[in-house]
Amino acid sequence: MSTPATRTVTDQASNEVVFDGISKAFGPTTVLQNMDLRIGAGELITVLGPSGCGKTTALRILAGFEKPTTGRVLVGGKDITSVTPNRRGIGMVFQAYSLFPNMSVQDNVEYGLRVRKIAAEKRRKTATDMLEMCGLGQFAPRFPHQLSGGQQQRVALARALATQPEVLLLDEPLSALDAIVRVQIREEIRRLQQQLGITTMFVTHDQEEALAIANRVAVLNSGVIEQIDKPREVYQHPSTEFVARFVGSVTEVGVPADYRGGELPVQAPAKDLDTLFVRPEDITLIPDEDGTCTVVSQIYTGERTVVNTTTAVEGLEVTSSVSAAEAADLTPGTRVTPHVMSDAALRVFAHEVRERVAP
Amino acid sequence: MSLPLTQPAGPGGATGGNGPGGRSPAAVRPPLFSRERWKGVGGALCSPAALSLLPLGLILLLFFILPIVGMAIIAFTVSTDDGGSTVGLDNFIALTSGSHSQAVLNSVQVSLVGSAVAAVVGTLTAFCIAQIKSKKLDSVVAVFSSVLANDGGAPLAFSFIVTLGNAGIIYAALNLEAIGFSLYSWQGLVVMYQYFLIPTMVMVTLPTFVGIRKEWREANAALGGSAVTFWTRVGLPIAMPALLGGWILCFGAAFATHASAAVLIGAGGFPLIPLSISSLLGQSPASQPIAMALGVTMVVIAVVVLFGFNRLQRRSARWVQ
Repeated sequence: MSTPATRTVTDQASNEVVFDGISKAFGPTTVLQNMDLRIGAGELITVLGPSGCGKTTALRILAGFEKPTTGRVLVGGKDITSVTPNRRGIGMVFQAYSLFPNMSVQDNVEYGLRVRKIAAEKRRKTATDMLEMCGLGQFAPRFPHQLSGGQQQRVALARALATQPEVLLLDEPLSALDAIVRVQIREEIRRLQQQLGITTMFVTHDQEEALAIANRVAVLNSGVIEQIDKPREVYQHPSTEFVARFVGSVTEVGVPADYRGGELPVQAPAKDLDTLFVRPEDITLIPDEDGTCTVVSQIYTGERTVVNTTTAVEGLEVTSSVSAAEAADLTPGTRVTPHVMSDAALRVFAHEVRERVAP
Repeated sequence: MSLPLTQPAGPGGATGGNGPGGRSPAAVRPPLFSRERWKGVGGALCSPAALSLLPLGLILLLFFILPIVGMAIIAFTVSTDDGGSTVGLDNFIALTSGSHSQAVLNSVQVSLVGSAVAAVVGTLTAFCIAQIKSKKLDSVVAVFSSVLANDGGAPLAFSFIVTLGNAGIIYAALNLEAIGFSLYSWQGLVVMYQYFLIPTMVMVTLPTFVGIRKEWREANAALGGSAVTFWTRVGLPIAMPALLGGWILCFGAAFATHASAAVLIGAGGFPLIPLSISSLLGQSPASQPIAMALGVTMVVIAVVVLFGFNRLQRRSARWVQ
């Protein structure tokens, strides 16, 4: 690939992004609290969190659309906190409908180059290359309203990349698309990002998406980064209860301090017990007439089947994910005993539980 | 006149679509009188729902089509020396001289200048109101402008006479006599018409400016564009169809205004088509055909202007078709 967008290694080294003690308040509401985040050059970080956690605000601060209340933003070691958005050299893809409706796809992609007063011929070539790269060559003469949502987002991506930005920002770019297209474009974004070695911040509330695409995932809750780590680590070793609950599904039970695996006691989390957060695939359900749980439903998801059970303890449900063969024995109504096969995702010790419960 | 600001995302396949190339953006429309152009219209009228058009159709027929036809018949009928009548252009030729030709020119001049001023001022007003970004203000402005847009008539003329007339308060306070301003001239009409033309323009263009998406501005900024770049390349082109539409509406409103102009100008001082028609109709029956000829002229001018504007508007909106 010899498009003008291809970077050299030396370029990459200068594209590290640093959030240095960023806080942001809108009036009395604090949206971000003293956030520190380093995105390595050429790295793709997803910022994952529920709506209202401040993830979009963080992205908009990097883009320059919001000013942080305190703290600095650095790109390639340069403090850009007070630089206006149009001088930051940042590519951005929005949630939806950000294409200029009065311009053809070609003109949309050329826009950033036109603003930079690049000669018409070079501009056209770059835009054509970008469109080819995003698989949109034949759509160049169309207008945005003649494209599907997925195609529009690809054009938005091509437009953002055409100016060879130092940093690419994606603000829930897939949330308006349907499932199949979402996965396709997600993979395309990853491919292009790696090909161009562009430092990328990808904001999403979809945990599957966040895990699938990222070098590292930053889980944000109420304006605070709870954990930042590789996708596998975030899923298997969540560092906080919030992360355990928000990323993937989890069964929460109270266990005695000496519990080391085996049959899972069916108890609600309590003050004098450790709390165990277990992933569905770490729980095995063994049919047992005197079992503590009763299967209530099966959800077939293709490769695996998710089995939900209820227990005598109110509000406590044990969820397991099993193969199709195992699922055959776990029809609704079957009594089962849950066993934990490996290390739980997260164990919160009794003294921590007490601290948390105490005011 | 509003334009579709959101495009529904097409379903399914990202690589789907309508095949390579797709529809050309400036799709060629079939000629006006071809069968293709009206395909489906007959079918649509066969639907039972078409019955609901009946009352409107009846009104159009009785108060629009029949009068125009009647007017045209009288206007083109010329009495001959032997007491009979024939078809001829005599009544129209009579318009080319004296106060009647002046009335046509005056009407066109006042309407064009008045609507142009209103288009510029109204656009700027709507633009500024949209920048305030208050939904409440937007709806208040929408209500007031639609009330004011339909305000006019004799009370309006009177209020201008007492403020800007020769003995008017503001006229005296600002010493407008020194700059040669007179309310009882075409300038006066242009000023007075602004009272309802500007609200008309605001009413039509405000939704467009409010509908300019934040994403478009931010995409512009992220791509390196300034505010000026945004408005020249994106904002104004998107608003253009509504701006031209508003201008058409203003021209039509100014062109047809009768009551307020009649009170302000009276008969004779500064002839306008509607005033001339009403004074001719008040005179002897012999002058009736000339009044009808003026009426037909007025319709023709309105149709030509609307058609021209429509073409402009269509060109500026070719990206939504």
